[in-house]
Amino acid sequence: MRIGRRLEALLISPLLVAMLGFIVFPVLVLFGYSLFAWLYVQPQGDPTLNNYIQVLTDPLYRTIAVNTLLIGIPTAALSVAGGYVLAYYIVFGGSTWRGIVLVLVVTALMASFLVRIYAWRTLLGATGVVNSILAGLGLVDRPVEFFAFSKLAAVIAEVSVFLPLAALTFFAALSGVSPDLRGAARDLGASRLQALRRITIPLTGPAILASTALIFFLSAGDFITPVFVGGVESVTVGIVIANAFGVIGNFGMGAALSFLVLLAFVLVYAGLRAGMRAGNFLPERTGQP
Amino acid sequence: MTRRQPISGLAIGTCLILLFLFAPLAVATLYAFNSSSSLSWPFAGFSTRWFEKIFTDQRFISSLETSFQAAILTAILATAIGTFAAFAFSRVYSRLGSAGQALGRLPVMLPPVFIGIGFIAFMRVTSWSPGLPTIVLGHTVVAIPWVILVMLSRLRSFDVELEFAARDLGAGAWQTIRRITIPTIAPAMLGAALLAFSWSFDETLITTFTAGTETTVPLYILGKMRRLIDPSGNAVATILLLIPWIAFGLAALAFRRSGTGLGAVLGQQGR
Repeated sequence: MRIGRRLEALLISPLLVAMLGFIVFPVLVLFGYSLFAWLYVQPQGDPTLNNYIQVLTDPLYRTIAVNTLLIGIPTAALSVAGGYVLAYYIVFGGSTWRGIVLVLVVTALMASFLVRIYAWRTLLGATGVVNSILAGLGLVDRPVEFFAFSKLAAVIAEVSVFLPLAALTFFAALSGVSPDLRGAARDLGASRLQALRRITIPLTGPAILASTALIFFLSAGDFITPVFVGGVESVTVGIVIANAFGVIGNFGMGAALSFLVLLAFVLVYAGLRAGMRAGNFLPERTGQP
Repeated sequence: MTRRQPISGLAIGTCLILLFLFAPLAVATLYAFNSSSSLSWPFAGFSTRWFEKIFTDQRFISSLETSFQAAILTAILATAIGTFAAFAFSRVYSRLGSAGQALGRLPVMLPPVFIGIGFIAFMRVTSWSPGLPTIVLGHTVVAIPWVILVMLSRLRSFDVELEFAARDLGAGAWQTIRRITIPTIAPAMLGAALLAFSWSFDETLITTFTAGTETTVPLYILGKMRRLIDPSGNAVATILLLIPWIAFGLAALAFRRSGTGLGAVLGQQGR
């Protein structure tokens, strides 16, 4: 059935209202907030760029940026690598287990975010299962603190959150790669690894790029995992933003920080894309959307 | 068939990764049934006392009620908005449509913290106090892209000739939608609604900004995590794990009926 312009506008308008009202409009308001100094949850004085300048110059924020990178980069890299393995198995694994692995990946994706964090927290805690098994085996005589409340613990927990997301993205991407291309490469004398490196990975390059950047971005914005699993050494930018809009009430600083993270994300994406292009990890002449 | 294949490094890697994903959940669930109050190894013994304890906790019961209310309202709202939009996207290619599609993908490309602080700004400008309505709106915004995704995939595989046939046989536009279109896409809509339900039930990051004095199940666990954890937290976690899973399992059944491969559809989201 054909639908006219007016009906089309009518059908799309609730979506436009929701996205413009609750995403685009708030972003504009936040940009306004970022241009003021805030005191007692109120904007003060004249517009200024001080919030941005302070974030870029204050060494405190440098530490936070370093923490965010130290957690975000390994999280994105490990999630993408692990997700690729799962997706590769589902698409090319060639056994009856493929379907079951796909179901398990989707099930893992739909497993509660908070329960996964809770599980790692109780598993890695000082009196948790890992430590009590180690103590029981006589391997340690007191709880190993670095299991919980470390950047490593935050990375482990975040990888378990983001890996299924990457796996499903790569499942969709790999499903579009014709096995004939790999077969042809093998026939022409490429080793299994060469076929993967020269054919399969470049063809799924756009998905790898998008997943890596998105997971890094999501990791930077997560303010629950680093607090409850990462502990005091894992103060990331997500936590600082959340606190600025929570207990601290400095909306201007929180908003400025958010826009700088957004800018950093664009730079990371562009850098990653240039790097992948230089290393021939992206298909040639592709109009990346 | 599996026997004849040698066990490859790929298969071993897959097993280890799946173990990494599921073992913590299994251990956390197991300890919900621990008879002692510690979360250490060895497991002391089987007991349901922690479930009895949380179901006598009024704060937990009310958080469960809030979560169900929010998830049901989100499912209705997101399915309606997403289905309308997907219907337009599937039938017309226009500039408005592509703008709508681009906007409709925004929420999954932004970390939830940005959406959450956006709601803080929104509520401050409009003097709207946080509560159930703002929780629902926050969940709806993030559920819409998933609804659009599954509905668009369903509507694109829809045989439009059926509608033309109905019109040729004298059915009016509204009659065609009611008798042909809606019955055909109904299973997918049910699936989309259940997907939105399970997404909403577990949503934590945005909810911390939009809840005000309300408590959902994830916020209840978050409160418990700030104090010393005992197995009653695991009991709540088990419930929080199961409810979205059940809703999602039902969604998968609905999608199977409508012929939409859920794995492939969900996989497109990250791109």
